[in-house]
Amino acid sequence: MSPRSRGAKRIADALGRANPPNLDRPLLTQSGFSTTTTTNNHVCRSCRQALSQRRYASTATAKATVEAPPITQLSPDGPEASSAPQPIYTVKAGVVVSRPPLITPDPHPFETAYYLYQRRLNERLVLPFTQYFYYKRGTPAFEHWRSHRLRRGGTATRDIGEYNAYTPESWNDEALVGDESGLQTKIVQDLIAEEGRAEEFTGSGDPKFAGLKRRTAADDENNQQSLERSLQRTLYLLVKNKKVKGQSESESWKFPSGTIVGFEGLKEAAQRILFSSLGPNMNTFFIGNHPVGHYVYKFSSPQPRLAASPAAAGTTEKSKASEQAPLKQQLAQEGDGAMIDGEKTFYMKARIMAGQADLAVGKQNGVDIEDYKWLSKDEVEKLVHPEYWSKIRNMLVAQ
Amino acid sequence: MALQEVTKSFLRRFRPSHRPLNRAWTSQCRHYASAEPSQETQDLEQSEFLDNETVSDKPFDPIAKASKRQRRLPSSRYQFRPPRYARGPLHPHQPPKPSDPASREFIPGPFSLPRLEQTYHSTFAPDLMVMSYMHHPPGFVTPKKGERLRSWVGDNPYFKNRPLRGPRGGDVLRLLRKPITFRNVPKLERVTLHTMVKGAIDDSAYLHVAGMVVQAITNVRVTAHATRKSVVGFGVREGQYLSVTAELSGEDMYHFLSKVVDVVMPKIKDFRGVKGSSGDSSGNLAFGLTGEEVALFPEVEVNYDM
Repeated sequence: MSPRSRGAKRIADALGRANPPNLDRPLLTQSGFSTTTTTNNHVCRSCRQALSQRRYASTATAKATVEAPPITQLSPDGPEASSAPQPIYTVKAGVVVSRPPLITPDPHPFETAYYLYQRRLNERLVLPFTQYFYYKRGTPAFEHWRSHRLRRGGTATRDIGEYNAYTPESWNDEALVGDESGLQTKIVQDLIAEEGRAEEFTGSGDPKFAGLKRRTAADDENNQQSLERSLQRTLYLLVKNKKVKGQSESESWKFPSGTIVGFEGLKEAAQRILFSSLGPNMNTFFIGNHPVGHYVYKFSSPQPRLAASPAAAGTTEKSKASEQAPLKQQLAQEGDGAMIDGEKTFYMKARIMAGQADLAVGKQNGVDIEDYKWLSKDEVEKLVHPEYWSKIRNMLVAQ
Repeated sequence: MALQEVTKSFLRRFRPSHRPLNRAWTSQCRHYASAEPSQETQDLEQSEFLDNETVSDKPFDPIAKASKRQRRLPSSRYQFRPPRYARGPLHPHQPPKPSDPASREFIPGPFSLPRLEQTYHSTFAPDLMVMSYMHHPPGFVTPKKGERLRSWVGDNPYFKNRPLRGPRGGDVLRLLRKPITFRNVPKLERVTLHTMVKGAIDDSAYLHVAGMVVQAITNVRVTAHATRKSVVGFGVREGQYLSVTAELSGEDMYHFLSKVVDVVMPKIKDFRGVKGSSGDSSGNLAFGLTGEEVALFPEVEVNYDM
């Protein structure tokens, strides 16, 4: 499925849901093109402008070939006024901050068994190890290597356990259930022991993993605010907003989001919201300049628009607004008593490289965030509301 | 497949097992009001693979069993050589698939899951998909592109079926681009290592050493190449073996790239990075390593103890 059709369909669904479904109108006319006003409402104003202004080399040649435009997309000011009153949504920017996995995941037992089997088959099929190419006779290194080879049952390869491919019993290459010769941890441990470096990893380190830890203290305590938990999984940042009457506990856990102010873009808004609500101590990197998902939240009854805080809307934005045709949002901000039917949040993807969230900064800026958590995908599913989950699940990576 | 004897163990598989079916199987069966679940599961074929108990009580020791035998087994029991030639689909002896270890064409498969490959799938691929997304609003019609190979247009009757012309301004066609979707995310396909040794003009031992080094670094057999033309400026004659190439893909490629990025590049003195203008902006990149830098690979003798 091309991203064009999928994204287009999503946006069409999002914007088209605003239309009341009881209007009885045919989607296709006799000629096969939809010339009604229905699909007009599926295209946002800026996209409509872009469609009309975009110029290609082929448009010059296409003038000769008369082709009825499928949708009346060339007029930026579509016949909005004639259709039913459109619902107004506040556009919000959200941010999906993720910490990618820091270590490889634990292999499945079948994977381990399969790789061991393939290594043993390889040992049987390839030419034997040319020891005198790598070791000189009589040197201590050669004697050391030979003694360890004997311990391994006479095999030069160090990752197949005690299996020798050049004996009359080498037909028995299957490892029994419970045989740990294929385990990566055991292989590493044996290698370290062979080099005589096992003492280096006592104390804080673990010789099985060459001195590094796969389970940190945060894992043992299950500290869900820590970024060092679940090193094998991608962790996503969820924040707990102030509880609203009538909402359950799960509905308050969401990705950080906030209203777009003025003429800032989605990415700028997402950056501003992230730093103002969770502090500037996060070294983040935003992927792309477009959102990766959206969430439409319709209020149960239309609410009046809250006046925008004076700190958020700068004076420059207001002067810009007066020059161009005012957007619906701008009109709403100026407080002409428009009723808002819901919110549309568009999420930007970001990665965190270092740092941590800070709730104190949010409290200073007047953002109502009570708590934050770094959770993997299945933990997010358990925490958030099922309806919210169904909209955000496809943005998240499983591993 | 070759003709098999019908043995007792073979027939034992078809007898119903007296152990109960696995609970996982029974829970999967849908419970309709009309049919009882027990009746449904009893209709399923009994098989010992459905049982939980995979480890039997008797210890499994094939060596001990083989050594206890008084008589020698017939060689057909332990020797199987697949046919060298495939003699048609109706022949009783069919060659096994190349993936079968008994096949003559069998190449042992992956020995590990490289860390770089796992990082690609968990981190790079989703980010690449996001960054290469191209948004088109509904109602967008892809603009018609010009013909890749131009046809002859006119009223001349000889234009029909004439071979198509190349692009304007030259014979080099522009690169085809597939749309980047979730099914077609840019990924590493192949790494080719090439080294040309000038010393091999006089002494072929230089080329042998270069080949051994490349094989040690890449874990892949090299192919040597002869020069196509004589160039007097370089002192090179046609047909001289001066270069070796190794092509890496899959597991070897990921391991090699991990070594280059994690071990070799950090050790290069005053490394300015790979040049930004390298490549054709369509997924092909090239950079070089000097002899000193190649000696930084862990497989090269001087680094054995690292």
